[in-house]
Amino acid sequence: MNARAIPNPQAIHNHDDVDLPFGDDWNHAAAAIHAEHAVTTRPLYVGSITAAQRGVQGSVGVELHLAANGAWLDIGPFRLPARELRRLQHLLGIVAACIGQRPATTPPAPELTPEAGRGIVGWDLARTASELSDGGLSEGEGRP
Amino acid sequence: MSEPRPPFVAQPAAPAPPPRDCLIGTIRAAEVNPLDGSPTRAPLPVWVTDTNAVQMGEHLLTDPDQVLNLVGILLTALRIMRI
Repeated sequence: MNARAIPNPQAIHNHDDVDLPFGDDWNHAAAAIHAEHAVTTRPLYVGSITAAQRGVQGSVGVELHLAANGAWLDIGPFRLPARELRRLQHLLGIVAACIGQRPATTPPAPELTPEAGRGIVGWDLARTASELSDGGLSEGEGRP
Repeated sequence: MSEPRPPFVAQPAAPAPPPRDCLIGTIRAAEVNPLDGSPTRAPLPVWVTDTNAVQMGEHLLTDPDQVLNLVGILLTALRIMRI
């Protein structure tokens, strides 16, 4: 087996970047094993956040990648081990409580507009109900 | 007979200090060299600024929705890790 022909699977991020050797020394079985290892050990994309960065105009996207074996999480260039990830989640929970942005438990108050709470604009529910009770209108009539 | 004690006059409270950034904690992280993958120890302080933004190292989260987004992603990662 020609060890030089097989790149380090940890360094494979894009298969297009891999220089495939050609010739009789190409070991297909070893290459397949290494390629599968590279895929199964590739970090998992779990999400991204939008943030500002000092010295950078505008906002930047920070991607989060989780190790396939769950040993660490990458937040942009920073790598956090599992125990620190738990600690960061705890700290951010405190932060979310401090800045008052916890998920709402009640629906927001209705907007104070002239049409608020009236449903369909122009629909007089009380009048329609009254007319229906008087037998003057059948259901479906009276709609503007 | 002793002199009557003067009535207690409450002093006006001192003006509150202006809001300042608050350090919530520091995460022991490592900064990874994208070229060779070598890690370097890099503490990651987490601050809450006086404008209610969250600063993690060089990154500043000014939108509270992004903070909740990050918390949600961390919860997902923790669930995958089964921590």
